[in-house]
Amino acid sequence: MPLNLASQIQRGILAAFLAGVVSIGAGCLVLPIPTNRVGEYSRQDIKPEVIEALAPGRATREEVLLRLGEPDEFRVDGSQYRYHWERVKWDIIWFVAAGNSGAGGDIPINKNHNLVINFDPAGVVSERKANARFGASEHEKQIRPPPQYQ
Amino acid sequence: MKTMTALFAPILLAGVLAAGCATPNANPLHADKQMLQFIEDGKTTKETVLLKLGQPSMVLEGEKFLTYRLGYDEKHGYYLLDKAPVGWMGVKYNLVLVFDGLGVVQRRSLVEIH
Repeated sequence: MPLNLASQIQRGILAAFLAGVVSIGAGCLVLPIPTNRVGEYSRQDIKPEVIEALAPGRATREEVLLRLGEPDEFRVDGSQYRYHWERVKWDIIWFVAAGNSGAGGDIPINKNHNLVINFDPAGVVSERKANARFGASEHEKQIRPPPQYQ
Repeated sequence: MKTMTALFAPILLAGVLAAGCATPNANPLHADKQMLQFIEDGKTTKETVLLKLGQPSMVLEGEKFLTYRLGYDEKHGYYLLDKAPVGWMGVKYNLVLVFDGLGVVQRRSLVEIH
């Protein structure tokens, strides 16, 4: 059974190699590389254990700030803070050759994480929600805003 | 003295914010390992903080909380960063200062961002 598995892996590598060779021959190359690095503009201080420690009904706004630092977004009345961070999960390396010229680049596939903390009027955490979804980098959008249509 | 601080700190903060880019050491060349040593809980006033560190990166809940973004150089120490236009690039620490009603530092933390 292990031999079969090894054989299947070898066949998979060979197929990927052949696909790469064929695509280079055709003048283009698309190579997805799995990674798990922190986004270039992202903060790295939001750890699961820190989120756990900010228990609803106990942690105050002051404790949240002292543990996590300034939020990336907040409501003026202080009722909600949002913390945002990003991890690059895949790098899509692409290359296109045509005649005597060519072009290439890296398209990062991001996973955007958000921690939204709601506070009650006394400034105590009433709810905390963490979510993550694949999508364009929030920070990249700030650098290159979408084109404005007239 | 503390009452005077409570009176003048908002005016000073408004002035610092109006000045916009008044961060005295916003440059790695002005890095200083002792930069934060002047801050003492229960003693340091908001006025002193604003005069030494300049414009905070964030002001929350009136002026109860001030935060500063700091870079860090192993050789030379801390340096202040203006609020980056994009994300947290180059930010090593986020200094969070909590003030009481009289404008005196009560608690603080240096949150490691990177």
